[in-house]
Order: sequence, then C-alpha cells, then structure tokens
Amino acid sequence: MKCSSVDTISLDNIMPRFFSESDVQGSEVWKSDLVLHKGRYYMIEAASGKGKSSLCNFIFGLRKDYSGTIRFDGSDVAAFGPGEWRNLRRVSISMMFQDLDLFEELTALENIRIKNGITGYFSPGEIESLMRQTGILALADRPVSSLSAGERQRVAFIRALAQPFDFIVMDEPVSHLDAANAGIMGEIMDSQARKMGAGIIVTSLGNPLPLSYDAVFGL
Amino acid sequence: MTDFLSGRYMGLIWKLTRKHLNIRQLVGYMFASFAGVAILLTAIQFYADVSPLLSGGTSLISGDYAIVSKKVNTIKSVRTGRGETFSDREIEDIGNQDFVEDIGIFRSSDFRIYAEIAIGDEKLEIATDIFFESVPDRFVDYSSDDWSFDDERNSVPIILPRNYLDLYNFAFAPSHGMPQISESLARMINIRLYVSGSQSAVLNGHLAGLSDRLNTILVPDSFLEAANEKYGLGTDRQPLRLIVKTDGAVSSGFAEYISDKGYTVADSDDNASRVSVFLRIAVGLVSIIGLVICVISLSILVLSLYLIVEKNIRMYSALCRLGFSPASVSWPFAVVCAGANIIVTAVSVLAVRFFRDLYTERLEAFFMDSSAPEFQWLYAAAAAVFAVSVAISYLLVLNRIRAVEKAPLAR
Repeated sequence: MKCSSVDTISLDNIMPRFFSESDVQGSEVWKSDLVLHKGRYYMIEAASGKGKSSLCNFIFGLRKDYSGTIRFDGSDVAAFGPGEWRNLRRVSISMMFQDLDLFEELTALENIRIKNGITGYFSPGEIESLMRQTGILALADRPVSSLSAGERQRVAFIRALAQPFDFIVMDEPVSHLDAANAGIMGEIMDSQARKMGAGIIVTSLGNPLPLSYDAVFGL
Repeated sequence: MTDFLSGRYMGLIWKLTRKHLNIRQLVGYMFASFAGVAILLTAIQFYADVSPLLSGGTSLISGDYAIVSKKVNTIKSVRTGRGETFSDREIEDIGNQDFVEDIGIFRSSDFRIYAEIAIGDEKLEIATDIFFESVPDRFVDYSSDDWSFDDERNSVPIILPRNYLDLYNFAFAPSHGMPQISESLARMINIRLYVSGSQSAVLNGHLAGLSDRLNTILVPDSFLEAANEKYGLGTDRQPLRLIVKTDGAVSSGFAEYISDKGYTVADSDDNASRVSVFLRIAVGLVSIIGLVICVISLSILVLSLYLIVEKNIRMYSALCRLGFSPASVSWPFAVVCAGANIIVTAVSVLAVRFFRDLYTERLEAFFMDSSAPEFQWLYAAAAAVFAVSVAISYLLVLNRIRAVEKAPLAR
C-alpha cells in the first residue's frame, strides 16, 4: 500500500490483549466499531489506566498486543512494513506522545528542526513564529533537559506540527499547561488542521485541548 | 534566528551520535587494528619483494618444473655407451598425466664441441671440451629475441649453471693467477666454438645468462636442432632427460608416478623452489595471524558501535518514530568507521614502508640488481582491507538499526 493519504482510520472491535472483558465494559472505543474521518476532531476521554496511551501506540504502529483490526482506508495496519510506517509517519500521521519523546541532548529549537529536517515542512520563519506564539522563543537555544514540563509540551507540540498529516494524534497534549496557553495551542492546532483538512484525535484526562470537537468518546 | 534554522537534519544526527561515541574504545580499536593491518600488509609486501628473487630473475626457467630421467644402470650404460633413453611412448604417457601441464625433451648435441675463451689479452686462454643441451623455448624464461642464434653477431646464446662461474672465480682463477669475472663481464666475453662431427666449423658463442636451477649448458632449441642436422653424427637421439611442468601443487600423484616407473627427478638445484614453498607457507602463516588480529580488532569496533546503539535504543526508536530511515541515522557510524580505518590504513602503510627499509637493508645483497620497488600490491591490499573493514562494520551497525526500526520502542 502506498500511503500518501489516509482518509479514514477504522477501529474494528479492538481491545488490548492485557485487558479482560470486564475492563472494557461501557467503553465506546474498545470492542466497538469506530470510524474516524479526516477533517473531523475527536476527543477520547478516560480516567488513567483505561489504555489511552496504548491506543495511541496501536494507531501509530508501535504496539501490536491488541485483538481486532485497525485499518487505514481499509488496509490492516498490522501488515505494514517498516518502510510503509516510515512514510506514514512522515506525511500522513503525526503523533504527540504523552511523555513527549524529546531528545534530551538537543536544544528546544533543535528538537523541532530535526523533525522539520526530514519533512522540510516549515520555513525557519514559520517555526520562529510558532515558538513566539506559544511563548517559548526565548528558550530556543536552551537544552530541553532544562525546560519545565509545560515548556517541553509546547516544544513537542510544534514538532508534531512540523510535517504534513491527515491525522494528528495527541496524547494529553496540555496536561501541564494553564488555560491561556492551552487556548493558544487549541487555536494553532485548529488553523493547522484546517489548512490540511486533517483529522485530530486528542486524548484527555479531563482538561482537553480546547477545540470544537465533532465527537467525544469515553474509553 | 533564520540562519541557524536553515541547516538540514544531518548536523543534528551527527550531534546526537557524537555525544555517545566512546573515544577510548575507538582508540583501542585503532591500536589493535593497526597491529593486524601492519602485520598483514608487511607479509604481503615482503612476499611481493622476495618472491621474484626466487621464482624469476636468476633461474631463467619459468613455472614449476621438474627434470625427469631414468636411473643410471651401470652395466647397461657401460655396454651401450649411452644411458637409459625415453621412448616416444613413455614420453606420451608422462604427458598424459593429470599433474603434467607441459612436457619437453632435452635435446643433446650430437657432435663434438671444443670451446675456447680468451680474456683480456690473448695470454689468458681457457679451452675445454663441452656439450650442449636444449629444451623447448617455452620453458626458458628469456625473451625470444635474445634467445636465438644471433645472425648479426654470428653468435650462439648460452646459459651456464651459476656454479660454473663460481668454480672459475673461487677455485680455478686464484690458483692459476687469473682475474675474477663478474656476471656482467662474463656476458661480454666471446666464446669460440670448434664444432666437429659430420663436418667441422668454427662458431661464436656468448653468455646469455646464468641459471641456478638448471645443471646443463643450454642453447636455443632451434639452433641445436639445426646444428645436429648439419654437424651431427646420426646417433640415437632419443632423449635422456625430460623437462616437465607440473601443476605446481606439491602433488603426491607426481612423486608416486615417478617412483612407480622407476624414474628419478633430478635435484636440479631446486632449493629456490623449496625456499619458495617455505616462503609461501611462512608468509601465509604470518598473513593469517595478521588477519586474525584484524578480525578481532574489527569485532572490537563493531561491539563498540553496537554498544552505542544498544545504550541509545530509546534515541534510535525516537528517530524511527519521527520517520527517519536507518540509513539517515546511521551515516555517522560510516564516517566514524571510515575515519578510524583511514588513519589505521595510512599509518600501517607507513609502517610497512619502514619495515621494508629494515629488511631490505639486511637483504641488501639480494636486492642489488632489483629494479625500483613495487608497491602496487601493498596499496591494493591496503585499499581492500580498508574497504572491507568499513563495509563490514558499517553494514553490521546499519543492520542493528534496521532491527530497531522494525520494532521501535513504544511510548
């Protein structure tokens, strides 16, 4: 499959293998048939321990310990090879992990540049502008290891945007941010997604990225 | 701000990798590798220097050859006045053996030859009865232009055993108050040959070369064939000796065949070929030792680089999660491997040149008339060792990172 574009993500009856039937009772995601469409905004809400991060890893092809089938436009992702995933992660699906996955050895700006280097998506000016909007421009040359959790979250956020995507998956993206900063991120996210007609999947423990969601699912 | 955003990601990948390089392990590799590569290359250079001295040069006879004759039977030879000759069938049988690549007969002169040389003024004269033998030209490692009857000089080229000159220089000349003759001087001496058989003639001869391996007085085959026709007495011309080119291996088949048939292989001073075999074995052993050290040191390098990948599985997983290909994150390892190995190779080549100076000094006598030193084998071997080392170490690391990409860590 040449995955240049992904229009739908289908979750067909999926459930983590380490969950029992009782763990997924009442879930609107596990053990149900869900189709997520490009261009729409989804929130997946759950208490901790319900498998939010597992779901993100399943969708991003990093874990396969689930039953059921995940399909991109009808193709089972379990069959994708490293090359297809590489291509998908560059141009179709972007991910912002809960633990951010930043390089401690690099500065804030370098963490964004390394992703932008392979995609060539943003111009240097655009990166500068995004860093200014989120209030981290002054931290550009500071090593990531010296930044606060909220500052790191904003670095990871801009990095996740530094590529074309049909879907962006964000695992608790504003858990360490105040409402004002979360609002700014929501605006940026909305404008970037609109530009590409992309779908947004956000997980949340209770303080979601402020967006006008098309659907909210309880996990 | 814009200028430091303009670079591509390669600088950042290098920065990430560089921070995890263990310089001490790298230096350790370079020392170990230097030992191996220097030993290996020295062995190769030594072989390249010494083997021409043993195989070509002084022997004038090419290839692995043996001189086969029949055992001398006293009664028969006294009765017939001739030794045991080879029949055409026997020659054909030897020629048909698997280990025989080529066979030629020794042709003997069928007429009397009286040779006379005059050194300097006419007072120093030596004269003696001699004989000629010849083998087919393809067995003689001598350019064909020089190895034929010289019409212009009206002169026959002759190859003498080296011990003839030694006998003259160290035994005969001092006791007769005559001057010693160097090889180059000997080549300029004109030899008068008084030939008598069915008819008589006076010919000129000159020394074409000295042979360490062939105990006979050798002239060109074409000359001897014609001379036998012209001056020969018409006696039985079946050959007494055969020259046989074998397949080169110390083939047991050959030795068995010879002893089965009751032939003997003349000890035609083939010390050179024995030394050549020993030299090959010795150089082979040293090369293997060098190679083993190279392999061990290479495994140090590979382990050291593996360790970087293993210790930073998270980092490489993160790069794969961002969509980096294994090639795009592993290139710094290629740079490190190439850098370390180019230093090792260069220093090793310098070391070989230094060792070469040491041993050529000790073997100076043998190198006196050798032409300019040849280093093409050394450079070719050095390039091969470099390429193989870099390719193996880089490909192993690339493979490890490919495995990471196949199953990157989850978050």
